Amino acid sequence: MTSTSSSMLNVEALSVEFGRGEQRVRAVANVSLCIQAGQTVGLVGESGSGKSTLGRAIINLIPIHQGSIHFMGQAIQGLSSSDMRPLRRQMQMIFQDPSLNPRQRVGDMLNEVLDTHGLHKGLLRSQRVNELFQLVGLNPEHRSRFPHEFSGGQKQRLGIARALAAEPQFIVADEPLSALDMSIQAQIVNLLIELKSRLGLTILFISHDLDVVEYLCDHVVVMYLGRVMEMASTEVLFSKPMHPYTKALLAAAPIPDPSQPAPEVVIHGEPPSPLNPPSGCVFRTRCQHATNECAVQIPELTQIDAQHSVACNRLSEI
Amino acid sequence: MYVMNSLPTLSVRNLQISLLQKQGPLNLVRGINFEVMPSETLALVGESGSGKSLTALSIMRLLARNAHWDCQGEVLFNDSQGLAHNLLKLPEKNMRTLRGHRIAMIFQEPMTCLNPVITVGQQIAESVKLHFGLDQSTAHARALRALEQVEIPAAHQRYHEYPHQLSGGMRQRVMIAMAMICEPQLLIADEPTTALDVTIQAQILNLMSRLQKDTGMSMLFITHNLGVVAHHAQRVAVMYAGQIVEQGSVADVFSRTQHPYTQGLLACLPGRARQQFKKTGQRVALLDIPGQAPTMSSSSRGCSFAPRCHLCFDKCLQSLPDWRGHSKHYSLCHLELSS
Repeated sequence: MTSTSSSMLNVEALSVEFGRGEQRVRAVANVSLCIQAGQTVGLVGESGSGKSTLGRAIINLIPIHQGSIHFMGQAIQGLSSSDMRPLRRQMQMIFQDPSLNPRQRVGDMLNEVLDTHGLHKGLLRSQRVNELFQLVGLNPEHRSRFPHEFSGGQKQRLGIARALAAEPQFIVADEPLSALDMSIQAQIVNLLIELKSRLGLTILFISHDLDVVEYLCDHVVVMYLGRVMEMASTEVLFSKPMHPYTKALLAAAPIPDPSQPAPEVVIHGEPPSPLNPPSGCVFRTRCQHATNECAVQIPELTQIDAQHSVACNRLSEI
Repeated sequence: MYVMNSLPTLSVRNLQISLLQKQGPLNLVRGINFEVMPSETLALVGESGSGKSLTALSIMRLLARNAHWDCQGEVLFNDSQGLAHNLLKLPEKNMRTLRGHRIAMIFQEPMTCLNPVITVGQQIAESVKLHFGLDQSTAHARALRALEQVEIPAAHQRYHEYPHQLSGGMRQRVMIAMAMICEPQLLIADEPTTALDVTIQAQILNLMSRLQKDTGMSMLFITHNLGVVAHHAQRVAVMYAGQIVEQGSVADVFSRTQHPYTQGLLACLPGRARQQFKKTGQRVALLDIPGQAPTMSSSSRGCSFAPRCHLCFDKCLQSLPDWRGHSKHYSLCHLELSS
């Protein structure tokens, strides 16, 4: 994920802070990443790691504190909502809970998106709405139904249809699977893969499920307490993880096969409060390799090779 | 794992749970059978709405009191003195002496079960005061030991804290301490790690396995995570639409899967697809089960999984399937499947 001018999204030293005074929290600290067109990038981490905050900051849904975001060469930080509107068409979001208006017919919901962006006016409109329903595997005859008449998986399909209505190039999917049952999760994963190849989408896929990320994504970014710990191509990250946190995450996830060894408990204790993060390396309080130096030195994200960066002080020794 | 000739701690026979409504009864659990042997873990797996939690709540007799329920069948609990109790017929007074003492339960969301205005230590101590009649200071010591047993650091300090001061993982540990303090014979754990992060999940599951080994209790473990089932249970029962569709040892069910629904569930797992890829070098596509689980109000004559089953044939739509297989591993299907 080296930074080049041809990349679709370029995030440079991004920080997001909430609250004031004593209660000020640095939810995202100094994150740089770069997403090429056509890639699916997975953003993984435990709750409180700042992955959702980063996803929202990238599409300018929450104000950022420091740093810059360039989308297709254009800086988007601090743009007013009217300046943002043409760009919003290009970058859409899929939410964990699709938050559909309970009193709006689902067809009208898609109409509203098309109205906002002035797409497919007049006679073409009805045809386009039907197309969108078919695209996500729903029956177009159900366009005059209300959200409560759909199941959880179908609601998520509606959320995806709403994101696709604007014909975006870039989609941030924030835990789109976590509220769904296993069999429905697989349906949505397969739908995302199909849509991606059909429409040439670029996706930032936020998830805590490592198995899905490995299946779906080309690149993976691992976050802990607002910082990037490691990023690499999926193959490298899952076969040769280098950061102790990535290793621990992979070891903790149970493999659904009784002939495989049971997950190990590599890290003990709980993540520290983001209100009062540890000095130096944020992971040091749970890291078995931590030394005195880790309490002082904030590890830089170091490039191992073109595709692989790790932030660890003791990388050469462990 | 367990002595075959000993009595099961829990045996559920033809349990049926219906919700009585004006429009007629809604059959939510439709005749399930299972047994949990001493010091064994039985995992009850299924998707939302399959009736797993309802089964657990009916065993504990904790079904919501603002609805009308009809529970048929038998839930037999054999206590350590060799006495059998039919939990469905037991008077509430006797049930109270069992609940929280011989049979304990852990819920998915500890915050809804812990009292927010009482310190966690007192809540744990309450149980031994009630069941063992201990005085305040002995109960305090016991509760403190229970907190230490579930590996809560600085237990002395935590004893006096309120639930909101603890993290999600800590609260779940408190729930476990509360359930374990009376050393129950049977622990029902309803999705105890679903709300937790993977690193915390691994810690909690290891803790539960260790406590089970120490006390020899039986566990009914309700989950939808097949990864957890593979490593923390000896036997597994798969539920679909209020019925158990396959039951057997974990090794059998995972490697010689019989029922098309269980096969579908396993094919849905990206982790499973990766394992296959590593073993065979061939990339496996993630298969999904088309459609969605049936609503409980719709009744069909045939197999409830038939509308989503890729092996469905005429007979499946017309008649209910029978049990196939042998006593250790069986499934509810018209087809004799071999994998």
